[in-house]
Amino acid sequence: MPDDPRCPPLERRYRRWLLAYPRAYRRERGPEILATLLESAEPGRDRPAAREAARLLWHGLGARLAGAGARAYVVAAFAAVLGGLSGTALGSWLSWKDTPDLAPDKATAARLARTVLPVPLDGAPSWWGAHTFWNPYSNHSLHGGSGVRAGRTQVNGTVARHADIHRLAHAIERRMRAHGWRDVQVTTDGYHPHEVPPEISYVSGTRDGYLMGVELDAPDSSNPATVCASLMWDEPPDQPSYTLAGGIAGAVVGALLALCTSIRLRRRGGRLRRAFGWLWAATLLLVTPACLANIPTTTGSFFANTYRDGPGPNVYWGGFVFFGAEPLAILSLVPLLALLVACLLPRPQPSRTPTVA
Amino acid sequence: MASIRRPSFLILSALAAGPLHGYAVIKEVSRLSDDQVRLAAGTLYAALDRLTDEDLIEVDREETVNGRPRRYYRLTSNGAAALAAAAEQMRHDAQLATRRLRGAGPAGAAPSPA
Repeated sequence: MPDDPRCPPLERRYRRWLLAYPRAYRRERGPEILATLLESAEPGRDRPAAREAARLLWHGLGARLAGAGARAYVVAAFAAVLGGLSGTALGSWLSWKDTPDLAPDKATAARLARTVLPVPLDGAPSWWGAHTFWNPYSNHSLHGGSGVRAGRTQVNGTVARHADIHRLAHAIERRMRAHGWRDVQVTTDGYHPHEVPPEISYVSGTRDGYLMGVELDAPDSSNPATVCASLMWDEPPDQPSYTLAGGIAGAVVGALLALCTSIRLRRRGGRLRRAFGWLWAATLLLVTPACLANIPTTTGSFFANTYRDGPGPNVYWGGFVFFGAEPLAILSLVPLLALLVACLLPRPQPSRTPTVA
Repeated sequence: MASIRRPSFLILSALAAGPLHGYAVIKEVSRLSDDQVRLAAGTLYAALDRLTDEDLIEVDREETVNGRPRRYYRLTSNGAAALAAAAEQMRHDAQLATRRLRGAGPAGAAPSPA
């Protein structure tokens, strides 16, 4: 046993590192490898050299994975990708957890809009939203809820009919900087002169956990210039690190789970070996819609673009609220749990044929 | 036949003189390579497993020394043939390189016409 106190310390420590090898391999080759390790160790050493320990770990894990089978590596590759996308969603969701569900309140929106717009406000703030069939959490959208914490409270400004939106955009930029808004940016999208509107400018900035996005529409032959300020919650500052850590952890866990379940079930033989493929296929197929919808883009999740009517906060878990994707993703836990239970089942004892004296 | 990596070549060379156990292989490989190649035990046994699977070496005998098992390995006929072929390839490549270097003259000089 590795921790037998009667063993010298060096031998005890080598035995622990040999645990990296599969049990059957250790039974067959362990004593021989241990003898070689002890013979080749420098005199007076009471713990393995780092290089020696690293090699034992590397080759031990390699011996374990050699029993996984080619199919397991295919499953592990898919599990790593989908696990990474699921981990990305979980990491992003955890970073957003403390952000309120509903959009900022109207009083705050009006107060902050006055620090942004160099023109009088036109009317009271309002919440933009619409219940959509694809987002089961959008029932409260008329009160600012969107299910992905990207709801916005909008305030319009009073501008001249033929206002120069370029000059107005830069005036907004200067006002925002003067009132402590950070990361202030101005972008302009120009369209065909006959388009409605022919040009749109956006000004955005962050302050005190809020994100303000201002959209300025240029006038055309039929419509006047308009300016609308939308107040949203800013992205949590730790979202990038949570998202990245979640993605890496998800990929590693997915791949390891596929390889470990393959190794254990291959030893069982028969139906359980065949079940490995079917159960993993079911797991991966059920979680695929949510993962595909949650592929990260520069504007959030693939199916949850929060850049609507101007810049918005990035949300990297929006794909999991897409209609149908969430319940399927939850259902994928069923075949996954079945796999884990199958791995934990006791191995059947070999049958003994009775001998006749 | 696929080319043999240097550690495997040295292990086969070490066993060419006769059966050896694990620690003796490590020492012999170190001696043959002038201490340039020092095999860790984990690396050695992974190589021995691979060479056994490829039928280049096999177990010669087992002993117990000071209460610990000691297994000796020897080259198979396939292993001897593979080692000879690898050595011949290296000799050929070394001769080719030496000839070309002599023909090129001092470094940077244009090669003399054939």
